[in-house]
Amino acid sequence: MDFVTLGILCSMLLLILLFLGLHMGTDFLLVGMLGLTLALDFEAATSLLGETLYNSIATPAFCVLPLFILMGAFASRGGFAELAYTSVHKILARLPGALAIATSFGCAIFASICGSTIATATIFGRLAFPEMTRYNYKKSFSLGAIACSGSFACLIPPSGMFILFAIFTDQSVGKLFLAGILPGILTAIVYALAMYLLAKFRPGLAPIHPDEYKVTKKDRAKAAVNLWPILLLSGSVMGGIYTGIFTANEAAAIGAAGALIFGVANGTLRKIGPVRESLMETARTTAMLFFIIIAALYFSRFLAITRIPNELADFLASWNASREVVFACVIAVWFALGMLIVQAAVFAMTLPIIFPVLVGLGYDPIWICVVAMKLNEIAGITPPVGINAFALAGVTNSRVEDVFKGVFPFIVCDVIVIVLLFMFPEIATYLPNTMFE
Amino acid sequence: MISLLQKINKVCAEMCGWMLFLVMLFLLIDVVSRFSGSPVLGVAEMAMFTVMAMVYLGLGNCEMRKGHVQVESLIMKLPKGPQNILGFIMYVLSIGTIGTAAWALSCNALESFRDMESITGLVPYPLFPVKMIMSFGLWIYFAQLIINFLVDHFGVKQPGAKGA
Repeated sequence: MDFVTLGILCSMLLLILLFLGLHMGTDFLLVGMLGLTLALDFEAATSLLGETLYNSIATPAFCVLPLFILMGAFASRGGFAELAYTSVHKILARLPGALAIATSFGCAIFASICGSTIATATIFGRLAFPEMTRYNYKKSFSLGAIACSGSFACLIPPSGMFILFAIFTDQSVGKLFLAGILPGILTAIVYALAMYLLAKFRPGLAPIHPDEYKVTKKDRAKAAVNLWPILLLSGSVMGGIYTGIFTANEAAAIGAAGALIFGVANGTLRKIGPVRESLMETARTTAMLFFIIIAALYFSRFLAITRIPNELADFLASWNASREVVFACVIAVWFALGMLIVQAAVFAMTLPIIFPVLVGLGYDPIWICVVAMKLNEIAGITPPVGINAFALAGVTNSRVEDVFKGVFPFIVCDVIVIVLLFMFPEIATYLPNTMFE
Repeated sequence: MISLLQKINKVCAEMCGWMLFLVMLFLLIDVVSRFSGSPVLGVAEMAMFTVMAMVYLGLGNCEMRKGHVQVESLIMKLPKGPQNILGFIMYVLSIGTIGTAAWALSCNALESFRDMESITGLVPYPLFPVKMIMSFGLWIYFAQLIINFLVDHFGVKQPGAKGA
């Protein structure tokens, strides 16, 4: 059997075993080992396995993911989400749809110190949903606004998904973080605009509450000033990376320590319990994620031996389709897989094959990652495995169908942002291209 | 035996959390020492080794809490009988795979020890200690898989059920 056929058969087996319920990491290891045994021999397969289990994460750059997850965990337990939400709501009071817009900007601000979409969606679900209900906002609109805004965390740095991308595509974490800033802010603005227009033309959707008329200019100014810890923390992390003062690793350590210090200062992290919980939760998530990464890297070594990525690139080069058609096909593959598997797993499976092909077609690697992340945002809130939608439905005791119903207008917003990214790629590439190294 | 493994996993989980705190401190020391003009050599590598140990020591606890990522949506639609058969097969495949991985990493660690392999850099840390810890983590994961298999398919009682 030639190597390409073997590679294709093993990729199919990988999918079959995954859908039959084998753990993702184990699946990559098993099929990679089987493929390498058939291509080379069992001794070579296990020898490469032993080496990969160590070598694949033997670089200091791998510290960045757990530390940014830790920063998010400290921020989640440290009361930063409440601070962002209440402050932005005060600043925007009396605007049609103020609570929804506060959720959008509050999530964007909180996402600048927490890279987890599920954490952001569930925290804001607990915070914003009861308030929106009290203000008589329509349920599906509230849930849609929270679910979509919660997904900012995968685009706005320090995004955990960008770190995964950096690992699988060999891109700079710092550059990817910077690339996500403008599209993230743009998405928040487009969402806010949509919320404002929807609330203005359909006031029944999001009525203005009498309490909002009590907010004075002084209250607004005070609320804006109250945001300083978050802005200082995210500013120093991203500013440090942008100016080249810190590496992404150091920025992550500073961010995590900063979140802890602010949490201790405002009293929420003064007891050992929440600190210990944050540490243990992060360690668990890291173990689970890194095992998938290590196993996927082992499988991608097998794929490299089969030369499938090169063969696919050669095939596409000889195919007369435009690169846009190829990109559309890639999106279709991601979309189809994303309907069944969580996005992190989809990227782990496809990036080793697809990414070199897209780069070979002349797309900017950083831009590809940003577009993929926008798609990832949509996948997180759409059926059937919209993980944020399920998490939000869980914390708000709502039906997931209500969440899916409410996200529709915001998916239109996401599509608008994606179109803008295609028309003006500089939205994603400007900041990383001007970064000091 | 089961409760001993549970205890080991709980201790590992607690250790992993505090190891992460250590990683944060290592990198802070690295930044501060660099800015103060007297960099401490090898701190970034220590942070890296700590993360590696943390990842592997946490796998058993992750398995104990059934926290590893898997696609359940399709098998959940099957009747109970086929679901059990598939579950049985998947456990056997998992135990075989993780056992082989643990064995492969242990061989690699022993080789490292024999050759006194070390990292290239200003501080040549030996590699075998971290590889030994990683192997230990994988063997714990392997043992936890066997216990989960016995509990799920042979009705073996698990003291205290799941949760760390």
